Amino acid sequence: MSKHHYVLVGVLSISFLITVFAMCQLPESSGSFLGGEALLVPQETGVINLVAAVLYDYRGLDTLGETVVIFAASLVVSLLATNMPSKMLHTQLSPLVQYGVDLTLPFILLFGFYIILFGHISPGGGFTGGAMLASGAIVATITYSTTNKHYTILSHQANNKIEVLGLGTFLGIGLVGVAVNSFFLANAASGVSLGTPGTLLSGGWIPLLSVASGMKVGAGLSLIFSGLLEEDS
Amino acid sequence: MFDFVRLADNAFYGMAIILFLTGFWIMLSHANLIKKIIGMNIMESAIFLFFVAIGYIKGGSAPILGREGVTYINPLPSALILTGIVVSVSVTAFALALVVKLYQHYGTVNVDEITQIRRGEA
Repeated sequence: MSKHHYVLVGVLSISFLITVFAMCQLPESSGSFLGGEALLVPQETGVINLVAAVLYDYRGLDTLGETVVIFAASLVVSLLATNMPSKMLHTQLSPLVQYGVDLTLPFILLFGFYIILFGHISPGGGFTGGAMLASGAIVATITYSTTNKHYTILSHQANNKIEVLGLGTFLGIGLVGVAVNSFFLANAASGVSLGTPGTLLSGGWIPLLSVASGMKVGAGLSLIFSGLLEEDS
Repeated sequence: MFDFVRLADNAFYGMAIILFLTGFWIMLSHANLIKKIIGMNIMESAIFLFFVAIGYIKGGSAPILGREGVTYINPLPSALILTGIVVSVSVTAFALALVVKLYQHYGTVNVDEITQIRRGEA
């Protein structure tokens, strides 16, 4: 431990004491926050999942920006990525692992699709499900190497198309609101039927937006992973 | 000065502070760039934990409406932190890509060695 480390430990201890002291002043969260306004959400948006209502209806534009952040990250990784293909590119794991992945991968992907499609009536949504789909693609890449012909649907080129398609769907749904003389990413105001809150076909555009952002996030995260692994082929 | 009952009630906040300072310590004390990124991720997790803990209500359940006699937690911090997690993943990927480039150029991921090499070049 050098002199710098002792100074660092001192500074960190002092900031710990200050924050603990501040923590003693914080009120404890108690009671229900839900007033009458929050209970109006199913009537206004058609979904019963409040997080999905915030993400895809009230703050839909922010969600679009969020997906663009992932797009920018995968773009930067592709630009900066190594010109030398990584050493694990052509290695394949043992048959035992391959059979195990063959068995579990359909269920990983199925659960991802379920989380995306039921995001407006149960916990989940496009981002969570997209991350699960991306983990499926990453597992397949690690097991079968990046040049696999086994799961072509999860390849680099397919991911590119899926990501662009997801962004296009999101923007297209947003422009529907503009086309009917409402605002960008309008949901109930664009005249779409909201359905019965709590059923699968409810919430107007929200399930579609969830699917679009799921495609975007799943493909974007897989692209980031494969971009760090290999050169664009 | 220290109200220990309230401190125990706010145990989530305390854990978030410990995690944050751990990540900060790792970022500042290690010269290895990969370890610095790991420290940054721990700091981000601490902030996510802090935000989600603010919205949590004791005995509350997920904010899916339509159930009787249930206390719902506040959905706003959860929605905000979903954004935060996405940005965190993107920043991590960006940082890792930069580290790959640095390693190709200098042959090391140690900040001290990179500084020495740069001093020799100048």
